[in-house]
Amino acid sequence: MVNIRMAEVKDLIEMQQCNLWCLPENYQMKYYFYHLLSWPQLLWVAEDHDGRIVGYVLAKMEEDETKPPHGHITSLAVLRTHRKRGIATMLMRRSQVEMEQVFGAEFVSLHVRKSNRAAFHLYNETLRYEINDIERGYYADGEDAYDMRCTFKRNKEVVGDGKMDDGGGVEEISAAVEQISVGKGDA
Amino acid sequence: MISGASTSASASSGGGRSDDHSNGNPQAGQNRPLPKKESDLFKNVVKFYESKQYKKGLKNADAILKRFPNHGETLCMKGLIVNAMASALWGGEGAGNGGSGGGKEPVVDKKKEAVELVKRGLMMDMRSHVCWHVYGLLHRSSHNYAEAIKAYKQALRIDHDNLQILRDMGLLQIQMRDVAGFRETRLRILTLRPNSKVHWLTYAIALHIGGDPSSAASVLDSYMDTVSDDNINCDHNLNSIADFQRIFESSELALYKNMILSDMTTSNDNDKDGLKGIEKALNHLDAIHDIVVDKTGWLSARLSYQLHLGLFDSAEKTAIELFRRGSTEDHRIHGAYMCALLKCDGNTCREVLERSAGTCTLATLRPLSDEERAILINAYFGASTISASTSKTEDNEDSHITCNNNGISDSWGKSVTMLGGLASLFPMSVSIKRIRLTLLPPSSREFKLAIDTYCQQQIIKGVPSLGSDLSSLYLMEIRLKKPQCPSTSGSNNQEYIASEELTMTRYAVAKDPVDVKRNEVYRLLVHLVDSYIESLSCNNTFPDDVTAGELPHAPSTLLWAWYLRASLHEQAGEYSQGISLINKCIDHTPTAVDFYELKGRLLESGGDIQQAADVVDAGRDLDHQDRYINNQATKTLLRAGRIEEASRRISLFTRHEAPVEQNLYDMQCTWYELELADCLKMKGELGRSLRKYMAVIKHYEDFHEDQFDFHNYCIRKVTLRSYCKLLKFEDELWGLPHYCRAAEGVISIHLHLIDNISMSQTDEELDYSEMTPAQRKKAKNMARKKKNAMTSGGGGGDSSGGKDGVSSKNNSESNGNKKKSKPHIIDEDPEGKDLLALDHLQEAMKFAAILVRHAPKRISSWALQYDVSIRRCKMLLAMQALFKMKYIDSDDHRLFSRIVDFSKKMSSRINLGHDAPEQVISSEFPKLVNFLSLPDFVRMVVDRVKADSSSNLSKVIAVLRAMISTKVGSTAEASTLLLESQLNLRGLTLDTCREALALMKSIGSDKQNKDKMIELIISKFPFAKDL
Repeated sequence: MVNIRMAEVKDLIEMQQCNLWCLPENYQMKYYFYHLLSWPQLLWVAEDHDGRIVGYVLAKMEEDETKPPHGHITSLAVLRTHRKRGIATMLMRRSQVEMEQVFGAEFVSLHVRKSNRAAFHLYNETLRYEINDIERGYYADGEDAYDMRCTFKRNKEVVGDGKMDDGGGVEEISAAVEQISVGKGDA
Repeated sequence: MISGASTSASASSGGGRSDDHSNGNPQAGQNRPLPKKESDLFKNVVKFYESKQYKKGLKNADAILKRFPNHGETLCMKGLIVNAMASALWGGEGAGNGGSGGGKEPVVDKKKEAVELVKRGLMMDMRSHVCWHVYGLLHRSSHNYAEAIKAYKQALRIDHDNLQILRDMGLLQIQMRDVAGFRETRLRILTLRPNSKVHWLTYAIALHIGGDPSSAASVLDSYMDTVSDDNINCDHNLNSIADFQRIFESSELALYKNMILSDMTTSNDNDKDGLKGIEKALNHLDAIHDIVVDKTGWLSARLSYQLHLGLFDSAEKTAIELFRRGSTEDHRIHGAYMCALLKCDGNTCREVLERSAGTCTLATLRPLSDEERAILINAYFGASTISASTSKTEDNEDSHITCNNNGISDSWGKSVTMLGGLASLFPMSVSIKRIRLTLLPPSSREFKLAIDTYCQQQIIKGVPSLGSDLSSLYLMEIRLKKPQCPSTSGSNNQEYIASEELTMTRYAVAKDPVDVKRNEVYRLLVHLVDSYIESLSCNNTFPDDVTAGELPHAPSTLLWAWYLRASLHEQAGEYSQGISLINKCIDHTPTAVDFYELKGRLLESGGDIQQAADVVDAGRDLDHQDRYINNQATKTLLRAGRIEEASRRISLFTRHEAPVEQNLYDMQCTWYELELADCLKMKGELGRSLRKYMAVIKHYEDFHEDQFDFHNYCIRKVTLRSYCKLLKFEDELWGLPHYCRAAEGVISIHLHLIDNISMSQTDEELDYSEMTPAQRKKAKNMARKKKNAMTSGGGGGDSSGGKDGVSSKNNSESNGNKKKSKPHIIDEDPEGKDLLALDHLQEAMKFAAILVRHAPKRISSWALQYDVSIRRCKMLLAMQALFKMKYIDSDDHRLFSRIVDFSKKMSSRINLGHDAPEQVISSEFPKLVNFLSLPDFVRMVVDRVKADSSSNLSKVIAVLRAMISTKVGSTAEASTLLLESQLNLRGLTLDTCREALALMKSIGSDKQNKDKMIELIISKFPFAKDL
């Protein structure tokens, strides 16, 4: 059982370590500060029963004036030990709700390694993201990225009917799904 | 930094100066205003400096200086430009790890030149605010903030109302937490420019963090009055990003104001008047409802206020609204919801809201009465489950739950949750299902059914963390001191106190095998999982299969049942049994990484770190894409002392253009540096170890420096609530676990070196003989620089990453991960010889002081403070540390051994003088030894340890050591005590066992006893070698 809650400043250090445990795309602390102090509602963490952070989502709003307001998932990670519990899905859904409600996002985008089938499955099947584009050589090691998007249903009255889910149950997420590697490559 | 400097120079020099010159102000240029031509040139200098066209700036400055070589302001500006150029050369700021590097020399020289120029300019024109401002900027660029503030103050003495200097100074004041100064500065700014929103907000912040929330609130009110209403209307037909940004800012501001109102409470929150702030804040929430877009924040605040005010019915509803919004997996809200249902007192509510971590709720915080359980179960799972839970428990007739519908309060009927409870409202919530296990009494039949179902489902899914998840159910009751006031209570404080009124019963999770094995839930699980394995092995079904179908399960189900059983063995310290099961798993599916990780852990805990490293590394080899297992392999290899291999492993996931260590340093990979430092320390490579610990210390200094750019940024973005938390976080930075670990490492090495003087003296001087002339020059330069840095007052070091990040939107994206285009740093001192050459006592003292100040709740902080103080012969400080330890945990072995040490040192001292400290000591110390003589005190503790069948091994060792050294007991008695414990003690690790064995050897136990001891150790740590 994990605790899913909005991240606070004091979580950032552990989030950074969690990122270093899971993903090859890493960031200095200041970048975490920058996210939290710009869009505090978009960062979420999963705590294990003892309070240790085992997963996080780091997200932001794009500031491109030529496009409608939209969010971007900078990084998402869940410790390998805590897979198969739907944690990534829960984190993503929470951040997306706030993105739409607080910042008026019309859609959310992210990058995922072309080879990362598990992550792709999570985004595409569970979270209903579509491929928008392919970015050649996006990652530091030269791998291509899918630029994926999920458009929010414009439904301002009801935030959620209590069931955060519109597809399979939160806990039904398939096994290997959470081997995720998103986030800006060190290009 | 530089960009900040440039803007600041712009206003002062641009605005201030041009006016000065045109008016012929005598203060500009010491009674000699520059002629028109030079005056224009000077404007260019400033302009070029700001646009970072340093060469052009320099050229213009030189042109002025050609005619007016002593023109102070020009000299200063030239110095500033030279300094900026040097910084640019050095990649903005130094990257501290190397602390030195390619092309450093010219930088050092340039910086020196800059300082000289500015100082000369200042001497030429002491009455110019520009010169003083530049002097301040120069200090600021070398992070010498205190000096910079002084310079700014001088500048302001000359030019009172210079907005830019005031702004710059305010920035440094808040960075340095000169809150009073900050408030004053911001008030002056606001008075000068009352039409700017930013100034109002900043002044409100200054008042708020200065502890005056009500004035802060009035300032915000005054500001709001000046703003027309249409600005904050929540319009639903919005499209542009700017619109949403505006709405967001209004929302954040409203919620910040709300937070200030609630803070007006904390001063005296026990009486009713004290809650007025909260009441106000709650009403204010209603008023701002339409402005706020952060509904989660709004609802959370509301829930907290309602609980504090005892408005339980409304709190219940608010919690449900939060659940509806998607917060069903947030246990803090569950905790609050439960408090509301049970109408808990204020302290309990506070405990749940403010101090609970992880998945703790009220149900896992303290024992619940049967009636309380019934209410909660009803609310979560509806009326139907109530009747079910009235049935009697299997084993214990007495402990059946007495609940019937009469016992439940009437308000229940009105509640929102209705018949099916929360569970039916939120059928997808994992947490709500799982919370059920914490609501049912473990001895009940329902609990057994529920945990059975839960385990079966998770095993079928193959959830690797199931064992760890279940371990949070191993609750045991402990008595804790009641918090006198909210701030002084230590939540981990396990001191037992006799008096009933002063203590309260709380749950703690059993972690030590001694406690785990006794735990009811653990025993139940063992029984359950054993039955699974038996049944699954026979016919591929669970004994009471909950998964409806009679179909046999996939073979992986048995596999995960084995895995769970192995995890349970691990929790109970049964390593051999664990290994044989996990081996079965691996034989069955040799490709599953998780199995290798668990096997590695079992081997490590069971005493064979080398094999553990091999096994985890073999697991790593199965999945080269997975950084987690790669890190796990790295970590285990480090613990096995295999540094080279570890480095090769971790380098598979680092970027290759820089050396691995540098790369990990740049990415602030603290965990690795700490593990490596521990490993090096263990190997006796103290210099290298120190370097790694210091690298972590440096990261934290950088984290502290990181806040600099956010002081302005957050005001602009109006993320003021988060900003306040940032300030608080930064103030508490030096008390965070990783920092403490690093600081403790540093202190322990220095203490070791003090006690073993010969070790440090050998490498005092760098060996220059084997270097090439170039290297030698560089190294000497470095040594000189380091020395200078140290004498100029420690800390200071340069920080990395201070560039844009927040200043420009597009750059900030890349700020975090983009490597700056600076030359790679060559590590001049990988062996840490410079660090070894420091004054050990001074260093140890410095870090101990930081720890006791920032981590006063850690008993280890005070233990080290004692160790440092006693070596400095500061007896009073040492004794104070002992009292602090006693307050934290009077039962701790580190305290006991230090009391004994102190007592001996006291009695062996000759000058039992009559000065005040000595008198305090002789009057206070007896309290630490229960007013007994040392031998009597030791005897008392020995008897206590004897009576406690499962004491802590470290404690036993400390006690026995004292018993022998004070001649209170014999070697035979000590040996017997150890052997009779059968090592069924808490805190058992292979290391402590080795220590016990070493103790037996040192006190001369006979061979027979030692052999018995070894046998005992092997029984606990079956894979241990070389005992």
